[in-house]
Amino acid sequence: MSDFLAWVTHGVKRKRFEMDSRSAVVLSVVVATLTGVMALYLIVISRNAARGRHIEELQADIFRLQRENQQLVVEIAEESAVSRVRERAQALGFAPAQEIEFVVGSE
Amino acid sequence: MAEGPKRRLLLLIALLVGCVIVVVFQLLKVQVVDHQFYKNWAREQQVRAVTMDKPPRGVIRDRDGRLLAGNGVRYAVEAAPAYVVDKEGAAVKLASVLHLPASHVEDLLSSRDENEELRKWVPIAPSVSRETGEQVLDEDIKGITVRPLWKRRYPEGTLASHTLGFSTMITGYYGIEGFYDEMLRPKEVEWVAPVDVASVPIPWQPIAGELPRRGVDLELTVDRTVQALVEEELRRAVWEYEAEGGTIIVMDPDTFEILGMASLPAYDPERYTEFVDQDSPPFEDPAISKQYEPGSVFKILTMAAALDSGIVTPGMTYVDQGWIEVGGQTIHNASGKVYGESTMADILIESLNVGAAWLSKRMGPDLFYRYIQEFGIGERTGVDLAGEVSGQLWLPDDVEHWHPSNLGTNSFGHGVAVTPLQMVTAVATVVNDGVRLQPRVVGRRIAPDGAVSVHQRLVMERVISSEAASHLCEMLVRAVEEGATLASVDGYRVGGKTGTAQIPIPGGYDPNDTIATFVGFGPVPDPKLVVLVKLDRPQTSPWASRTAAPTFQRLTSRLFTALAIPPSEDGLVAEVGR
Repeated sequence: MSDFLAWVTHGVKRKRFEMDSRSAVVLSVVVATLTGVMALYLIVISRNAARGRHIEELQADIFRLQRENQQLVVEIAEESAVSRVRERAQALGFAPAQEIEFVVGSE
Repeated sequence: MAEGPKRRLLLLIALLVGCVIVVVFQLLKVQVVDHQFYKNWAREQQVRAVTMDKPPRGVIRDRDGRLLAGNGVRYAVEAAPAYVVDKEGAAVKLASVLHLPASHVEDLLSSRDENEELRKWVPIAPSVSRETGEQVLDEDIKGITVRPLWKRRYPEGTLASHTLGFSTMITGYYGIEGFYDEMLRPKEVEWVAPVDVASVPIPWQPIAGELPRRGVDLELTVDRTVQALVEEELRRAVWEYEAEGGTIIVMDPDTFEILGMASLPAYDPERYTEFVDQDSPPFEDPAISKQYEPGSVFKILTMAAALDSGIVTPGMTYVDQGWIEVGGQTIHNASGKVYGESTMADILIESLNVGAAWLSKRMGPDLFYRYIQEFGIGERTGVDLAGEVSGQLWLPDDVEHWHPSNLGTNSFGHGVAVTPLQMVTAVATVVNDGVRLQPRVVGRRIAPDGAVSVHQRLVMERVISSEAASHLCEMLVRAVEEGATLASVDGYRVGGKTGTAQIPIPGGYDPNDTIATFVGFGPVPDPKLVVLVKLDRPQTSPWASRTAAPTFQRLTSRLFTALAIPPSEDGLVAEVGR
């Protein structure tokens, strides 16, 4: 013990720590309750985080699918554009009609 | 207790109390006095505004749902140099995929800021194709990010470019893209979220109050097939008649919906950047943004006003002396001829300037200009396209610009400037029994939640009576059958009027070039189309009857077929039973 501590403590009587069984039970219950609450809190928080991450992934999937969908819509439109249809029709041997004859159908 | 220990104990207590006071004071300062400061400081470190993935801009479709403007995907390749461990290896991999020099990529990955620290963010390739972006992703290089971007795509190329306008990554300009920009724009959501040390969001609150929303989709009144035919015939006319440019508008006279509208020169809206540096970029739509003197097609409006006001009747005649004096100015017929006793129909059939001036002189300025204004001349039509101008119509109360002779010259379309859309709208008013509606290009709006808003037809006013409109339509049919015969369509009754106008230049009119216009409609008696053809400075002939009229004939006959509009009875070849 250092001189300083001896200077401070000499002459001061230290009381022995004692706890009765009732207090011990109460303390145990309090500690157990606090531990339980903390455990529950951690479980809820981790589940919340996991679900949050899952939802984030789903959102990312939605955006990715939305992008792919838009891209496909554009590609389909390009394939069926007037100029493309005309090219294909000409390649298949079709030509613009020269003389059109109209007929009227009756029931 | 002895005196010594007691004193020492008191001293110790005093010391501890002093320390406690200091701590409590400091706690009070931090927790109470400077509470807000520390709270904000902590929040700045823990929370960041994170922008969620941007949804797409609203798409534009034609009246049958065919895509005219959509959204493709591009990728931005970016790097965080501090996180790129093997810079040389990363540079080689990126260079081979992006087709860039490896040394250039390595320089970017090693670039430092003014504090000589590696940069936090460097763009490597701002916009690469989807395939290239996915190749970079497959390389899985640490510190390299591949960010998706929306790119506006126009799958039909130059088709309807002036009507559509174009869009950058953020803003739309001209045409539909410009007019409906706010509506087409997606709604972005900035999400304030807790982040970790690397600024990556911690998913405590994964769902923002509001999710980002795509823009509103628009369905036009434009028919893709009509538009394609319009552009094809316009290109042919400009080439065949060696014109500088031109405009064609096709309108439904029952609804004033624009079915097709094209002008040359045009541009590819996806490559708008290539045109930006030109002296006069072709972005403005001449159909609504450029005014011109309409010439004799304006006589339709003069005649409409005269018939409706009762100044003349369809059966009335006048004596054409070959000249007339209005406001001190002598007006002659364009042909220089004297026509003698002429009917009202002759004014349109022979396109008599003297006759038109005679009508406006009989009406007087108040009546004449009241009708012209009611036809919408001198004001915007209100069409839902960006950049429309109002044309130019001087009125008698404008003493600085208007001269009494204007009453005569305006009657045959000189000294007045209109846009092609104003002119076709005015003629459609006559065809629509004298009722003017607001022309429009968007038919339906589809909100992101699927709610559909249909644009209702907007009646502006009744300009002339149904009877006057009917008489005038018959006169215009005769004007084609007996005058502009090159505009007549086999099997159909069509009406219309030519207009060959000189081009104003400083100090007078261009002696060489003209603007040739034909405005027609058909089939009579129940017209489904009103078509305006305007050719700028045709070289093969200055006359509209030889340039714009045959263009109208070719286009209209194709449109009647494409839209399954049957010919009049005598145009049918046979009747078959089923």
